[in-house]
Amino acid sequence: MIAGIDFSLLTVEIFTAALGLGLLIINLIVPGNQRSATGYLTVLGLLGILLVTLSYEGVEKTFMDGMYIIDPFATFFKRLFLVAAILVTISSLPFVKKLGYNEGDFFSLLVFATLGMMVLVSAGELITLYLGLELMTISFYILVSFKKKDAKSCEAGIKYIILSAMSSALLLYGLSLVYGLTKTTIIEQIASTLAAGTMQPLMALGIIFLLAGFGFKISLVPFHMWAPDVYEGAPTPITAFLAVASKAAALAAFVRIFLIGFPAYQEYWITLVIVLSVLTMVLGNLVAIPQTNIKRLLAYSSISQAGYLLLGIVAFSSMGIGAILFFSIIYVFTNVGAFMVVVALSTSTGSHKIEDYSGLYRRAPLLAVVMLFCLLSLAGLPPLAGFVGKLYLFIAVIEKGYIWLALLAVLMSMVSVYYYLLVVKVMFLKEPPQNSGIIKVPNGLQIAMVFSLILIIVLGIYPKPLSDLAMSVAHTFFPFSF
Amino acid sequence: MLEQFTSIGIFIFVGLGFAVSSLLVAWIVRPKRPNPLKMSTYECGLETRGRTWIQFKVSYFLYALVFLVFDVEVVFLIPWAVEFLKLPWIAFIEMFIFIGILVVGLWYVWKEGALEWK
Amino acid sequence: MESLFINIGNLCREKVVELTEVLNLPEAFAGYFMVLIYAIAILTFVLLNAIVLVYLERKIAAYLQQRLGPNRVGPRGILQSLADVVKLLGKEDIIPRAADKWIFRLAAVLVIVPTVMVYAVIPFGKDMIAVDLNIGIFYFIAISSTATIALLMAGWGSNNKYSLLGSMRVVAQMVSYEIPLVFSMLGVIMIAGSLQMSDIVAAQKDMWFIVFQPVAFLIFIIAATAELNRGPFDLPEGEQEIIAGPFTEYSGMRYALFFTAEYANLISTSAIAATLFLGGPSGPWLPSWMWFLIKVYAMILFFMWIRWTIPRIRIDHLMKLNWKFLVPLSLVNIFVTGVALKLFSGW
Repeated sequence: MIAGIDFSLLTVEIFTAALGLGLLIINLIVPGNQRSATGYLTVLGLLGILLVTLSYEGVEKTFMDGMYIIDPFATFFKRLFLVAAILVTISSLPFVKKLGYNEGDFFSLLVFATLGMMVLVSAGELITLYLGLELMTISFYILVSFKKKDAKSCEAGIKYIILSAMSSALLLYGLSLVYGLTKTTIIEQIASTLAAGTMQPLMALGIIFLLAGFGFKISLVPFHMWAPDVYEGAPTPITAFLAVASKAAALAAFVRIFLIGFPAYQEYWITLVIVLSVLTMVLGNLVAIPQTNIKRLLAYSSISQAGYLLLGIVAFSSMGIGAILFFSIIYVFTNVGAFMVVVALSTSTGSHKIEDYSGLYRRAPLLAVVMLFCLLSLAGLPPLAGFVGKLYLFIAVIEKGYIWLALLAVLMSMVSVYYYLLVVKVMFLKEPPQNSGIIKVPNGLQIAMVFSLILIIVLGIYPKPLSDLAMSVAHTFFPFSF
Repeated sequence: MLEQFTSIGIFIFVGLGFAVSSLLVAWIVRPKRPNPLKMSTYECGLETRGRTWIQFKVSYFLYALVFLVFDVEVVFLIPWAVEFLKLPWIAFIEMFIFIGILVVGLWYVWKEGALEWK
Repeated sequence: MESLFINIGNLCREKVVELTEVLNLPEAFAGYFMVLIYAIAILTFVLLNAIVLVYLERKIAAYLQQRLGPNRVGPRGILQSLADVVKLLGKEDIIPRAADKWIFRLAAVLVIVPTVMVYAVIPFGKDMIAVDLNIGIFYFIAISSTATIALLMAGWGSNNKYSLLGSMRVVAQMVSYEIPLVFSMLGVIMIAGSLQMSDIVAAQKDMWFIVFQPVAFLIFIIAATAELNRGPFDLPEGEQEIIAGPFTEYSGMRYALFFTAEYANLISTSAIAATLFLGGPSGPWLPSWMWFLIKVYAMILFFMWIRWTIPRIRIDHLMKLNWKFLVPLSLVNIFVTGVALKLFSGW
């Protein structure tokens, strides 16, 4: 063992990488017609890794002089990614079965994307951060365009590559400016270098570039234009993963860089974040109203959710971070839940139009009920989990005196109720189309959906354990409430 | 160290000097009588048809990608090879885990048929 | 005899030092002047050898094919190459109308530069390395692979279908075979524990590395033949199918530059093979530089023998040979070398 490097800290990452490679190898050995079974193996492997993360409770250590940080914040997000990856894997089983080629690669790439996210949230240094980000996005490039015979999927892939490459370039430029001015890439050292100085114009430029770069990944308005197209074209499970895990990962990295790295300049960048947040909430919700495609609707809804999440950063307190953590966990279950319904429906009807959801309650009661609860939770209606998540976010900003911002957010939630209820109306009140039978849902998907449903309801009624966890993690990560 | 690379610079200079001076000498002594036929593209006497700069066979680019991966591997392998005798066994095993990952990549490329010339 | 060239060098150095003192230049300039002299001396050596090699190649090819070869200019045609040089010098330089003029012109210059540069690290004899870089062999790999760009420029700039096809083949082939070439060198580097040429030569004092690394030597020979674009791997210039590949549109002195670069590369690659596997300039009785020359010529003759014996292979076979045979084999070689070294050198 080389002195000073404790590889046991990296167990989760090493296992994830091994799982990804193992799936690739299995894909090479196993004959073509049996490969779709690798999906079950992926679920098992990810569950095992999730168990491993349990042993990291309260561990707060750095690896190689702050290059890599294992703290409760990172571990929290790693669990989130693993849960999301498991749900996405389950929901992609029917899709992959129908695919007929590269079945193992799909899951392998999914695992590598998860690994990228893990590196992203654990990175204590700018280059490692970029590495994680690229591992994540490059895996997503392939996953998004996985339906290679489908023009929309390919279009989505190309769009995602080009825009993502541009945003990476912006981000990299920002990172290099920050490095040039502080002579270090380690985030904590950046903070201590900056603490003394005043705002330099170049630093402002660097921060703006960083905001733009992360804005792309989190799909904030005005950097959101890729999201609806890519979400629409990508295979639905991947859309869910992209909307949930990739967004959470980029947000976590964003939080780490800005809250740990640039607290000295908070007055400058918080203004920018407020502007982005307002734009995102307003535009995301208003543009969602006229959508007729369920995936585009959910895309705009996920854009607006990112706007709410930014409120936690605006708060700049441990309360705000806790609210972000809590909201993102709930967001995983609600959003993936909604997408699982879309998957189940589209595998049998092959359509993503909202009008094709008419009479869903008659044809598949479970799907309709899960969709109902997920949408209401996304809208933030009590007593569902989404309500509690938004409540924490609003309280966090109100504590800092941004009452108008909280009011605006509540108003926009009202708007979102309208378009979510439009879908509900179609599902429950309209008659099903002629000669449409009952929709069959695979067992695994059913279990995952019921699991999400129960969590959405239970966490809405009794959020204390999760919120306590989120708040304590946030407190160790960012022990300030000034 | 810097001196050595200045010397390398001298070698670049000599190489350039040789090329330029020989072309210069040729320019002085050679005849210069261009005509449209001489200046046309050589295609065994036939008129050239269509554009030359077109989309090219994709296999070449696949090989280039595989090459890129292995070339980066080489960059990591060389310092390791130099210090090999001084390094402990663990370094040997670590490097072969790294190579192993790339070999899986090669295996994958092989199986997917990217190495076939179609 | 042993220190003939070193004595000449020392004589030059004395004069140069005197000159710098007279001209009142900084001391370091003396060293740089010496490097300039070495570089010019090496260039002259290479050019002379290239002329000899062209004649040798034609003669050997002729004998292997049971014909006479050049026999008109001078006794047994010995002056043929000199006549060719004069002829090429006097040829008109044609740049096709369709060509991308500057890329076309620049390619001919750029192809010769890396070729000359690699000679900086070649040990021509005992203490006869122009610049004994501590990354010697890595320098060779890095510089020699840049020639690919010049050839691609030549093919692209010509705007000729044969040229473009040939240059794409050059790139695919040179890029692919670079991997086994470098991997085969790694075995040697692992044993020698250094990248410096003088260290590698010194490490072979007792035993040539070809004994420890026979597989690596074989891989090196095959990969080097491909890197040199020589038969049986001469697809990029396969005369019968694509005229002369990237050189199709070149004429006169520009063509001569490509041609010189090709033979200069042959010499440098043979020299590297001799240094890495055949003990470099060391040997009994004869002076070291003579040993080196003998080994280099042995390698060159070997390359020529292969070229005129084995027919050209198809491009799919070429790629298959590299990726499915040489690359895995060279990785296995590294592994075996590593295990053996660890076992024999103790923990």
